[in-house]
Amino acid sequence: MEGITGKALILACSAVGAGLAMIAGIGPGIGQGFAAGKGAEAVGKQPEAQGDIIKTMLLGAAVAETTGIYGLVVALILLFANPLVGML
Amino acid sequence: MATNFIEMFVNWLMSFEPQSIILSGSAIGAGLAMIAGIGPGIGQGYAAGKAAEATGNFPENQKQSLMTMLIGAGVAETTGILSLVIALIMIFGNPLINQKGADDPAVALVLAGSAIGVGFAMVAGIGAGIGCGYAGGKAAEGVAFNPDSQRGVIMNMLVGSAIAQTTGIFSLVIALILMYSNPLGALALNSGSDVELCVVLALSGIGAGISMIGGLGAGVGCGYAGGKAAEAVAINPSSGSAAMMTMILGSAIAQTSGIFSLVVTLILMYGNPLIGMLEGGSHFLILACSGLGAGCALVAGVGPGLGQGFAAGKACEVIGMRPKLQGSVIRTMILGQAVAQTTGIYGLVISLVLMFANPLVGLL
Repeated sequence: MEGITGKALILACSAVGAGLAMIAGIGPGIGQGFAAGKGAEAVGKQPEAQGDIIKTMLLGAAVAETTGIYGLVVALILLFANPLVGML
Repeated sequence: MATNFIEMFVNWLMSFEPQSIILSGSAIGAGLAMIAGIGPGIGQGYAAGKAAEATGNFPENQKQSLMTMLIGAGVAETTGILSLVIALIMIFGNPLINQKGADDPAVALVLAGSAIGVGFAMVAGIGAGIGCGYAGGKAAEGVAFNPDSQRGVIMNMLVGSAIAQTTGIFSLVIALILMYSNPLGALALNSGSDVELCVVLALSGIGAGISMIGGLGAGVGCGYAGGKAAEAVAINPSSGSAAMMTMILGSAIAQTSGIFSLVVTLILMYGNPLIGMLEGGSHFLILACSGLGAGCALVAGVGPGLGQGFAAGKACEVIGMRPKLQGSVIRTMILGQAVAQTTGIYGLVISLVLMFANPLVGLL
C-alpha cells in the first residue's frame, strides 16, 4: 500500500465524487418524462394546439435539465480540471 | 501493527498528508451535494407537464400559465443552485484545509468526515425541489383554468413554496457551519488530537449530515400543500384565505420531522454526548458507529414529512370545494398527521437512546 500517494487518494475520491454527482440525473429524467407524457396527452386532446403545447413543454423541460447539467459540470471539473490536487 | 480492518483503515488514512485526507473527503462531499439536483429536475418537469396540459385545455391562456410555471420552476431551482454553490466552494475555495489543526492527520480525519457530512446535508434539497415544482405546476394549471384568480393562485403557491424551502435552508446553514466554523474540528484540536476521539467525531460529522436528509419529506409535503392551496383558489377564489390558513397549519405540522433532524444534528455537533462516554472508558468504535447511526435514524423523518404534507394538501382541496366544513376537515387532518408522526418519533427516540442512554457500550 506504500505506492498510494496523497495525490492518488484525492484522485480516487474525486472519481467517487464525480460518480455521486451524476446521481442528480434521476430528477430531470423523471421530470422531463412526466412533461413529455403530459404534452402527448394534451396534443391528443387538442391537436390544433400542438405548436403551443410543444413550446411550453420544451421550455419547461429545458429548465428541468439545469440541475442535471450542474451535476455534469461538477463531475467534469472533478475529472478534467481537478482543482483539488493543486491545493496540496 | 494493526490487527483488524478498521484499525488498518484508520492508520492507512492517517498515513497520508492531512490535506490529502481533507480534500478527498471534500471531493466525495461535493459529489453528494449535487444529488440534490434530483429535486428541481422532478419538480420542474412536473410543472412543465402541467403547463403543457393546461395549454392544451385552455390555449387562450397560454401566456399567463407559462409565466406562472416559470415563476414556480424558478423557486424550485433554489436548492439545486445552493448545492451547486456548496460543491463549487468545496472544490475551488475549500475552507477546511485552512482551519486550525488541519495539518494534524487525526484532526484531518474529523474535517474530512465533516466534508462528507456537508454533502449529505445538502441532499435534503431534493424535497424542496420536488415540492416547489409541484406547487408551480398546480398553479400553472389553475391560472389557465381561471386567469382572473392569478394573483391569489400565485400568492398561495409562493407561500407554500417558501415553507417548503425551510428544510433546504436548514441544511444550507448546517453545511456552512461545518465548512466555516466547524465545532468538531475545534473539539478534536482541543483534545490533543487523540485518534480514537477523532474517529468518533469524524463519524458524528457524517451522521450529523445524514440526519439532515430527514428534512426531505417536509420539502415535498409542504410543496404539495402549497400546490393544492393554489388549486383551491383557482377553482373557488372565495376560499383563498381559508385554504391558505389550512395550508400553513398543515405545513407547520409537516415541518416537525425536519426540526427533529436539525436538533439531533446540532446535538451531534455542539453537545456530542459520545465524547464524555469515550472519556468514561467506552469503546471508541461503538461510540463512532452510534454517532453515525443516530444520524441515520432521523432519515425516517422523510415519511412523516411527506405524508403530513399530503394530508395538508388534501385538506386544502376539500376546503376549496366546501369552505363550510373547515373545522371538521382540519380536525381530521391534524388527527391523521399525529398518527403519521409516530415513525418519525420512533427514529428520534432511537437516535436519542444511541446518544444518551447507549445500551451497547454496557454489553461489551
